[in-house]
Amino acid sequence: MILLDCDRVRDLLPDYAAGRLEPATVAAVEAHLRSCDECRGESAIIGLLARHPAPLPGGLEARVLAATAPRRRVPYVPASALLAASVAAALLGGVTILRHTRGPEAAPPAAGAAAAGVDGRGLMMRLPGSADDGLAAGSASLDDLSEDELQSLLKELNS
Amino acid sequence: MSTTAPWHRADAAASEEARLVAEARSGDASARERLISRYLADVYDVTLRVLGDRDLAQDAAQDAWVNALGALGRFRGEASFRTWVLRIAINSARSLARRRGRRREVDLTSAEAVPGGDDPSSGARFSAESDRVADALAKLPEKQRLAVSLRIYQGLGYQEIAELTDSTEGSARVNYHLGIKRLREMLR
Repeated sequence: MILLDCDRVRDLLPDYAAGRLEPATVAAVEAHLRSCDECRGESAIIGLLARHPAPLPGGLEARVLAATAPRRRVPYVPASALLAASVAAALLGGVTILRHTRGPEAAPPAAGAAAAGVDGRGLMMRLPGSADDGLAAGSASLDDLSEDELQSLLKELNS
Repeated sequence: MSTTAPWHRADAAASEEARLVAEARSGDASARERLISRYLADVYDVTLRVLGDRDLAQDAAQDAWVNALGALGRFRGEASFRTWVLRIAINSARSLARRRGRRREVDLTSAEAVPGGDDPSSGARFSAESDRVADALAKLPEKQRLAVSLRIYQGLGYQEIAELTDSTEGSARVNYHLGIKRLREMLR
């Protein structure tokens, strides 16, 4: 039989409450709990916490799935093609103005018509949100302590 | 009923997670959806513990998934996907808290359906107990609240908690035990 002290048992209690321990360790934790009022009290609180996770709100999954569904892709159009389309559109516009001012002529071949049909949405790529890696700093007091000081504090806490 | 031991299930879960992540990275929409279904409750729990408000926590959970899936190409597999997405969830919640002003203090009671079987008094008791637990947790300082929540609800070890909260393993352990000590006082 494995023998566990209070510190080890308290570290294991969340895994014990969630059924994540191997049978031999479960037996060792339970043997300790039978003989230790303090750890039994802590086990009761952890069991209480474990029985009450935050319930997932109805509709959240559907909402997240909708927000993350892949958008319909707009075909990639190289910038050079857009430039050509702009030039063609400008030329067509110029010809139209000339036709209007000079009278009816045969229409020029619509060389840029297909390109002129390209809209600008190809450039409006939706950039994915980037993960903010800058965690806000919390209280640094514990982080400033050495491992020995943290161990002493733990012993004090558990005494 | 499965008779597989929990530690074997953990290995299988890690391998399934790696496969889903690889498929999601290659553009498989169904793999993305399965990752969301698998870890949404964990992500929501974390955003709720940071923000203390159910509506804001849902907004932050959504932000977290949009950010995580948008950045999936940058996931290097150094931590598990779950740890990685939980870190993004904490960042999204803190970022939302900064945008909305300070953390709301805190009404986590009511509203959600609770298990209680057919007995209304049993359901009411469970609900009241659930409210007490949520209130007590919400009163802890953030680092203690996160350490307790990540340890108990997510089953993370102190090293992973330290990585998620930008602290040391020793600090994470002390924050967890401080949090439990205060919860024992509040919930006795």
